[in-house]
Amino acid sequence: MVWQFKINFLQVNPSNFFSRLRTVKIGRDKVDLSTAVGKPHGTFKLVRDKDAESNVLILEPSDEVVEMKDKLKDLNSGENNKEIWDDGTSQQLKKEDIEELRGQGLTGSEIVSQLVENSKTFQIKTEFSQEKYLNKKEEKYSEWVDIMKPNIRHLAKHFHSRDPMQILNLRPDTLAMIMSLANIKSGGKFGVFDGGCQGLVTAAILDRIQGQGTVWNLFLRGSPQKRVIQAMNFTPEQLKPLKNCSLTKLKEALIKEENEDGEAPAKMIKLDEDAPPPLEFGSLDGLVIICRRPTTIAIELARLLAPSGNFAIFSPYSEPLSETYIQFRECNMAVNLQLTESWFRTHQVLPLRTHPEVTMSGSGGYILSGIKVV
Amino acid sequence: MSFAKTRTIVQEGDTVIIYVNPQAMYALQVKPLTATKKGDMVENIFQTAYGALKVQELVGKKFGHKVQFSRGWGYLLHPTPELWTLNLKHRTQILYTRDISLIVMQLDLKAGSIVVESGTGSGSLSHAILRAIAPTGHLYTFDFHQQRVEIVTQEFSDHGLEEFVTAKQRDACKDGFDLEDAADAVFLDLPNPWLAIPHAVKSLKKSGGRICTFSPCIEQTQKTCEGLLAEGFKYIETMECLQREYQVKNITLPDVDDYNFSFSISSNTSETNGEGNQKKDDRKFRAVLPALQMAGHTGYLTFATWPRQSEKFQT
Repeated sequence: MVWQFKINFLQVNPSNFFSRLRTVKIGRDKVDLSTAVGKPHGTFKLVRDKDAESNVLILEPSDEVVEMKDKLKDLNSGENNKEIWDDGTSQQLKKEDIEELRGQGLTGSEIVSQLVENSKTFQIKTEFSQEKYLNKKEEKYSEWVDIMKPNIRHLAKHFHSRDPMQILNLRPDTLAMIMSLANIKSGGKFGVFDGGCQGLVTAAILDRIQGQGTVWNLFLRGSPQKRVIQAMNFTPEQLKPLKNCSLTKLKEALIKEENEDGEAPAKMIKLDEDAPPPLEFGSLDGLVIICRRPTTIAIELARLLAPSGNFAIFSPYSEPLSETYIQFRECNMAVNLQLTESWFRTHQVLPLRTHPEVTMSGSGGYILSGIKVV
Repeated sequence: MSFAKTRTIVQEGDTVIIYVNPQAMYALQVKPLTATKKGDMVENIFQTAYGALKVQELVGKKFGHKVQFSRGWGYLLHPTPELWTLNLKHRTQILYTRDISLIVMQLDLKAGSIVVESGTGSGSLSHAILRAIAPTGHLYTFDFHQQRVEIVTQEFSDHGLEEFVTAKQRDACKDGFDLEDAADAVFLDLPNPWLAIPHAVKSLKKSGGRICTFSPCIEQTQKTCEGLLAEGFKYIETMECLQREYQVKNITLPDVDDYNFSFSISSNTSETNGEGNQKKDDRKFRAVLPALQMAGHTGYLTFATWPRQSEKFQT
């Protein structure tokens, strides 16, 4: 069900965004998203409200999405582009004409039909070229929008595609790898030090374990990162494993215990009011560290890991991770140490037109992973 | 037994990983006796490069600690799906952690998901799926090869995973999955995945779900994409993913590789004060070296969304 006053994830081909329900701009139109409230998630058609005086579009659930290329498929096409000259006169409609058509309340596909009719060259373009043209127009004049529940896959892609360095260039496939390498599973005790990915990893873990286990959101200064956690609309049940923990306070508690008990490992610390399970040295099943320069903090935080516990340390730079690698190796604290980067690309798959997409991400960041031993 | 629940101390029946070095790791089941090739039951002694290990003596030992062989030592590690992938016995080509991670995330798997997998193969992906969906989800995994199903069923049981998984012999392309409106996600690793797509549709929940196919060849991928489009799948995406692994090395170059030269007279220091240790330090650096050879292709992964089916499609 589409939520009111909560975040919903919208996909408008090919762009996407998430939003609390209110009026948003899609293409050139204003859309009143609140008209979707209470209806099941899925595809909606953008409709002009005939009675209303404003030109704000409303949303109606829709099952039959008609793609423009299907509507216009009976048109003639050419063999090649030999006769097509780029002289700027192929489109007879001027910008003002198109604006006027919009003003008359024409739908997106009606406008594109007009554009096609008034194009001198459309009918001599090749079939493939026509399809490409229509797909491009579809992006601009689409009449459909998908409203979905936010999930990690959508949010990871959204944040990465909009501004990669906002989440330290933690690419979605790298996030997927971190979830494996840190052995994230329901019922486990995990620690996350998030030095700049907006809570993306913590949110991914909370989503994966669905209320069972503990996730320590470790932070050093200020407050813990939580933007993506908030965007997930977790239920209180799903949020139950999340415990925020200041490293400064944790240090005080652990040192105090050490002094009192002499050599014995530190015991209970109390940070949240509702008495969370203890965080002590050697207690975590998995640890994820996300920061630009993990060189000193990583080896310290690894003390919180249980023997045979798994860790994954992410940085957008390989240099500090290589330092960390050497540190772990020199103190014999970990085995199966691996410094990796992933290479990822998507493909256009169409009949007779299959090839890798022409642009790809150059790097998705680096991961140092290993297993703690004593 | 130890896959399902993390524990600190080895119990009889556990599968453990003995780590000697990155090239020498072994998955062992801790039991007092083992069968010889002739089928006789003998004491379970495992031979490493550093001598023998009496496997039963691992009971009571702590994970993550050292373990003694007759001529050396290694580490006793808790099993994970990643370590299992590196150490399982290959009965087929297997999927590796790089692709597995992407599959698990792109299929939106989480604790409680209901998943269909075909074929099971050697169970490499199955273990990672089970980690993601246990203890509240369920995996239905099918393979058309009876012996593979029998071996993997024994492994799931040895690993304490049997309550979360149903492994069956079945030809998915011909007979489908015998599931209706049940699955959140379907994974197909078959020579002709497009033949199984209509069966996948039947098994997916009417409230919507995700599908993934893995194919080594682009021709297979093309047919699959056409099939997915024809059945009404949305957001069809094809991707590939490789892992670049780096070695970290402290390198000191030999004299012969030291080209300290400048046309400027004042800064040409190599001849004048490049003595002893100072000069050696100049030739030291830390290198992050990509592997000289790497896997260049595994397969194309195609993902798509099965949209929520509205009332009029429901019977």
